[in-house]
Amino acid sequence: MNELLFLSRFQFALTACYHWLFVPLTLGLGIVMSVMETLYVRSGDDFWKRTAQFWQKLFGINFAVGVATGIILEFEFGTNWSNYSWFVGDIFGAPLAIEGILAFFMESTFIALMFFGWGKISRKAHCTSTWLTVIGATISAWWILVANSWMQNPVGMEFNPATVRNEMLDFFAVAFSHTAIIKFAHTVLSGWMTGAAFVVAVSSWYLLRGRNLEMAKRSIKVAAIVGLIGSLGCMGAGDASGVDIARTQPMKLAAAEGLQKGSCEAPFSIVPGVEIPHMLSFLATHDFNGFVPGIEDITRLGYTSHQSEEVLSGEAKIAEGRLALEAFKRYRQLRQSDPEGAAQALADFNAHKAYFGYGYLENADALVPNVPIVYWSFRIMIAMGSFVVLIFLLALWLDYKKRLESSRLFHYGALLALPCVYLAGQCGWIVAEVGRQPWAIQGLLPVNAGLSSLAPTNVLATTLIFAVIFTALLAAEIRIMTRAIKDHQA
Amino acid sequence: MNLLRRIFYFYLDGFRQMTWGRQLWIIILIKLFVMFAILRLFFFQPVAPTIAQ
Repeated sequence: MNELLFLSRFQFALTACYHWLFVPLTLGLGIVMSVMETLYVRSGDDFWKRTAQFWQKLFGINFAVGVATGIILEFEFGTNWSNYSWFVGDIFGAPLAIEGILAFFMESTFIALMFFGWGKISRKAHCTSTWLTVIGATISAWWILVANSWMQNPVGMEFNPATVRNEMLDFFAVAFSHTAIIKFAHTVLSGWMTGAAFVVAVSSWYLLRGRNLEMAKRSIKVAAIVGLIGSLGCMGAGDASGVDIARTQPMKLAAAEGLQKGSCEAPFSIVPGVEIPHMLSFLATHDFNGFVPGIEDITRLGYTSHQSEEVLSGEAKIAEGRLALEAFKRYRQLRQSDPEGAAQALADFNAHKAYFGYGYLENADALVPNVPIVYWSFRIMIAMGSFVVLIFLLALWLDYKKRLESSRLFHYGALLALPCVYLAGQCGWIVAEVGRQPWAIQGLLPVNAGLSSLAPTNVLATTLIFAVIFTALLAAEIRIMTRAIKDHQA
Repeated sequence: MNLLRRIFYFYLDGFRQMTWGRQLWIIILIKLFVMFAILRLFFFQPVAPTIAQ
């Protein structure tokens, strides 16, 4: 990988990872505090009002520090990924613009009512504002994930060779693609898990310290229920995502399993050497004997998919892509001077354009992402996520047995669940994004073709500046939040 | 007009009565200044795409 490509990818990954520290807590903690305020409105019990206000305070700290951190990613599209932005900006820009105009303003309006409105508007109106703040944040996530899903599974567009841009044909196909719906559910519900794990961890800290006991116990119960609902939904969406990825991004699945040769009896690898027979076939196709292609099938051999489609090998696709690229260059050269020659070149291009993006790749090996990173990130995500689910289950069981206050082992486990849930979220994104390499847009544009012509030192400089700023923001958030937690007296 | 006045005073009172929120607003304003007045203007200038060539 050349230096510019490495640095540009590194910068984008770093920005996205930092951004994803703030977002899931906003989504999940928002649900927990909204449920608590609803309990206050329904019961009239001031305990729930004070409890909801405390968690809203922590929500506010996270929101204030995290808000707009995603804008840096949008800067990077114009600076580091200008070819990408030119190529697909007409499609990719639409959901980002809707996110900015609709969802962000909705969040901003109702968050003001939520923080300034206590005692000034009715209880029901306040509770509605709190819910609408969270719904606004969730809608915001929807449009960002629509944009990301379109990169994973581009639909609803047509390539215009005259402008070298992809143009949107069907907005609803982009906004409500199968991939977008699944990704939205999986990602937002993982945010619920994060918010719930945060509340359980902070509350367990209070229980360990023997402080704010009633608030801590009742908060754990609410959070564990929200977390468990989020976990079940997240698992369901993860299952649907497995089938979707097997169909649209088979290389990602093969890399996540380290599967070299395809099989109708593909096993699921728990760790190297420990496998569950037929399980990968089932997860990928919902059929214990469904065919799952391996890396060799995708790069060199070609295969017949579970849906009985003949799929060319990567080598054959690259050969087709080079023909498309050559015809496209010819078209660009002739379109002013020789209309007939340009028309022939365009016809040649159209004959091979399905594999246009493959023409930018050096060889079939370039189609393989970093297998160890994807393989282990997937397993860490599952292991960490399962531990967090176990904590939610344990919390509800201990609450039922009236032992929530006395079980110190659970309190320490809950504290451990907090870094685990963040690690699971980060690893999930690593699987999604490293797993789809070398593509910036699956099958259309590899990352090396999406880059800007920049000096690597420029990208390095902005990466360092960005890393310093975001580390400072993270340190500020942790400091303010820990102080707010320590100072709180229920 | 009365509605606009009420909205104005709602926000004004909200900002006046802030306690820990002041610190957060300072962070937000510094962050937005750094992002838009420094990073965006001096470091993240849009680059002309070359893919059409």
